[in-house]
Amino acid sequence: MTEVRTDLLQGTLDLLILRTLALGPRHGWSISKRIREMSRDVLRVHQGSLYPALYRLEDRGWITSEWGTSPEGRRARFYRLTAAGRRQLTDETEHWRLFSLAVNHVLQGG
Amino acid sequence: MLELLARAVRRVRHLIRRRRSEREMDEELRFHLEMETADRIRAGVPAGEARRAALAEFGGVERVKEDGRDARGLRSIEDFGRDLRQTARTLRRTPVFTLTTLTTVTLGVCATTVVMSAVSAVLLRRLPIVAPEQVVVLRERWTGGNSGATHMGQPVYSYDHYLDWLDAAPAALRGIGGFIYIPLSIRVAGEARTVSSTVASSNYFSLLGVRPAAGRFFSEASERAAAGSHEVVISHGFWQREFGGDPAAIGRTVWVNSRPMALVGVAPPSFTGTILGLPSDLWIPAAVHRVPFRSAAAVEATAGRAPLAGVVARDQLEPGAAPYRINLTLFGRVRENVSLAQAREALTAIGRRLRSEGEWARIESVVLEPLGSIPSWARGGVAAFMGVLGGVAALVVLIVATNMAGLLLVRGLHRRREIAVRVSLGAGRWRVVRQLLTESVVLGTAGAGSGLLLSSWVLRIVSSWTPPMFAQADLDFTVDRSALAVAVFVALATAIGAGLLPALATTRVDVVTVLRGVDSDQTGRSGRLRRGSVIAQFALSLVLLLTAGLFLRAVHRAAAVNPGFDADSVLVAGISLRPHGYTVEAGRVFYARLMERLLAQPEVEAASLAQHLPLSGENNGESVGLPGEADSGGRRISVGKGIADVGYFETVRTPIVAGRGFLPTDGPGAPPVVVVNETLARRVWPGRSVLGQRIRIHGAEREIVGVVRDGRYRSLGDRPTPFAFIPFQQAYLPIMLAVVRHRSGFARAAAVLRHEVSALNPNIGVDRPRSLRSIVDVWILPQRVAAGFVSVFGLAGLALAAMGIYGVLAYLVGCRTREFGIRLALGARRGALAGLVMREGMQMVLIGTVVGTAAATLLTRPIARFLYGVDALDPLTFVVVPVVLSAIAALASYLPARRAAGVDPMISLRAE
Repeated sequence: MTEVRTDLLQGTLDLLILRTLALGPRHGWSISKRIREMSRDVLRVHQGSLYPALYRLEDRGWITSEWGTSPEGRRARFYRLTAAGRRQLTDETEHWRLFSLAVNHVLQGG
Repeated sequence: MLELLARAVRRVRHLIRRRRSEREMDEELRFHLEMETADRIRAGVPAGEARRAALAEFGGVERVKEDGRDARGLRSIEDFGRDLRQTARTLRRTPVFTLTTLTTVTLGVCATTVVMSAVSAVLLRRLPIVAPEQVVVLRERWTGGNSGATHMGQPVYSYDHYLDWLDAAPAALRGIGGFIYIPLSIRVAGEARTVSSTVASSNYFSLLGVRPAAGRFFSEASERAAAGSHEVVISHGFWQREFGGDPAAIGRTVWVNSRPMALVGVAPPSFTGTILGLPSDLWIPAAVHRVPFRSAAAVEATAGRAPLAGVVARDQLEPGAAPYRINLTLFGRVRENVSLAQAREALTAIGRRLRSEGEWARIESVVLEPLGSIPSWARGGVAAFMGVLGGVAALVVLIVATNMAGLLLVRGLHRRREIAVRVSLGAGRWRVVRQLLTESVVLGTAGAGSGLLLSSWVLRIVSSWTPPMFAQADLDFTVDRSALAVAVFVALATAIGAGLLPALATTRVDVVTVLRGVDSDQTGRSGRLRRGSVIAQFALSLVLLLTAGLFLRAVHRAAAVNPGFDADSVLVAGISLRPHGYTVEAGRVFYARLMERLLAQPEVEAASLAQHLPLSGENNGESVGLPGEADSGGRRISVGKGIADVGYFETVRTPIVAGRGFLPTDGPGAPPVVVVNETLARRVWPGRSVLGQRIRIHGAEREIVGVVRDGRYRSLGDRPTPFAFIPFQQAYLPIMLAVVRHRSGFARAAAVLRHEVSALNPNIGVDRPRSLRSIVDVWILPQRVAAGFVSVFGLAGLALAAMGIYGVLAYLVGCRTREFGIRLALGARRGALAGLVMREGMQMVLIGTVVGTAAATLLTRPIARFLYGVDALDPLTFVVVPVVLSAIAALASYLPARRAAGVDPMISLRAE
């Protein structure tokens, strides 16, 4: 099983988090779990990167957080996408598509 | 923008609820770990193993938390907090430095705030009316370049002319109103009093957009209808003082200028008329002057009360006496959609129509001026004076900045070792500079705070002090918002500006030399900076003290001026019969009886009447031809003149050098006479006796019966000018000043005068009783204020400069102790060492003196107009002040020099 370090590309982790939250509010652990599942176990978010990234996104105003109850009945902090975050996600996604397309062109060409 | 703001709010919220944020972060991370562990256990890993694995994968919890804080932008804020705490510690450790710097900044902020507040209170304050920028004063330009009469510097036109303008109803204006500032007598009960008042058109208040605090303003039926003309509005202050704010006062009848008038309303507290600094207590409609007087008895009958007992003047009031003419300053409110230029054009067109048919002067154009707050005649002088104070404040700020820079520099040098250690331990230069800057910003902020406290205290004292300028001048000085902003800006800019240079200079350290302790830095960049700051301070203080010296000389010079009269124990007050319906005959009788009664009082030594206050600035001279002088054919001379009654020269003690003063026999039927001053006598009949000569002045050919000593007539700065006195009995005026030389105190004399006037006619009030001394003092008031203000800051500056010199030299001696020790050991004389240090000090003083004196010769030029003939380069001042200052500086360098001479070679050499 290959693991990819997610801090290779700056902004990639932000994009992944925003994408995960687009489907609904989640707490930190379930975000990391969800990213792992959706990437079919390829992408593992290092917790040491996850929380600073969450706080940074919150600082930017793209996500907000509030305390709630997890499905297991535990008190947990849930993160939710804001309107600005949704706009950011659209932009970033578009950027990523262009970027990966360009990289593919380079790799397949010449 | 909004986004940034929201972000800042989030950060601050995190900072404020830091403990809670931390707890939540802990809880969140713990939750994550537990979930992770539980996940592993579910996958079959044993509990202990699972937890260890989860922890290992997680990495350092503290590290994550630190990164988390960073992500929230808390790190820079926390660094700042650390800087602050460190600053507080260092400042507490060096109380002398802290106090000196604080005092310096406090002085600077105080000087700026006080001057700025005064400037904005006097020059920039706007009238408390609706949209003051729309309100304009109309000035007509007539053919021949004339503009008509003026009153308080504003153009005035006859009431009839105002009505013409009103009828023309210019479309560019929302309305045309008129006003004039005038003293009026009001009697509520007992004696009448004269108060500053405004006679106004009936639309005055509505046009200005003022709302009554109680009752209503004038009824605006029509200017031409007599109905509603006998109404009076009082100021809020007058309402409080006279009626205790009683609402029942509204509707009462009061006597204003011998007319019964209904008190209909009270103006709001903020509104005291259209001239700031000269508040009005009463407003009456101008239309009242169109209504003829009725006899006092008839008036009292219609007012429903018994005739007043003991009214001597009752039979002197002439029924139907012509109402006196009143002039008004015209103003209008320009409509919103009309520009000033358009309004001006439209009004000029109407103005030309208004006076077209064969009148003596036609209107060429109409000029619109802002409804000024300060009378325009005073504006130039006041602005210049404020400019001088502003300049002084700027100098003070400069001194503060250089002083602070000097102090920070010396301090920085003392801390070179500490800084070097920090740099060698890996602190970035920027980090150290920031720490040093934090220090100056903290000092600046604290100084701004204490400076504002100090200045609000100073301003309270200034406001409570009644300047002798105008009887009721109302100078309300408070710390003004813009002044506050400027002061805080000045403090912080000074602190940062003064802190940056030393911070950069002291952090550029050569770590190795400093730590090895061989660096004494005498010649380097910071040494030059330090010396420069001391020289600059010395030069700036010198400029301030030279200015102060010039003002003091002016005060001294002015006080030594002989005004041509003895101002002590003389009371002057206006007694106007004009609005009270007196005929000329009745008026003469009134004034004569008043003089008789006054002279019978034990408190009164002498009494007379005069047309002008001496030094009042009023001037109504005339150009006099000299008939009967063959050699002066056609020669004319400009002569100032004033009307005075019997006994005037004796009362003010103006010496009569030849002939006599006025006598009771110089009556209306007697041959016309005149008394001239020495200058007039000398100018026209040099070397000859002038008694018996004749000149034509004030409408008659008059015989010169006396010559009096020259005096100052218009201002204290006057050069001797030709002047002639006309006897009151031959030149009656219904508005005169009583001049009373008293044996009692001033207050008692004023009471006596009031009582005697009231006994003759209770409706006549006494206008602004003042002592003649206070009138003289007005002329040197600006110089006194300036001298005081500049001296205080100049001396403070000098003290700081002296401390600076001492500090620099003491530091120098400290650094060179070892060198001195070696020199002594090698046989140098102690006196030579002391001389070395003294020379170093005096070198700075010399440069400072040259620079300061040179700067002062340029900077004192603008104040020449305030100096009463003292030269702006007055040699005495320019010698004494630098010498005294240099002596003080020499003393400041003597102390370190003595220490240099006292160095013990053994001790100083062993110290290393």
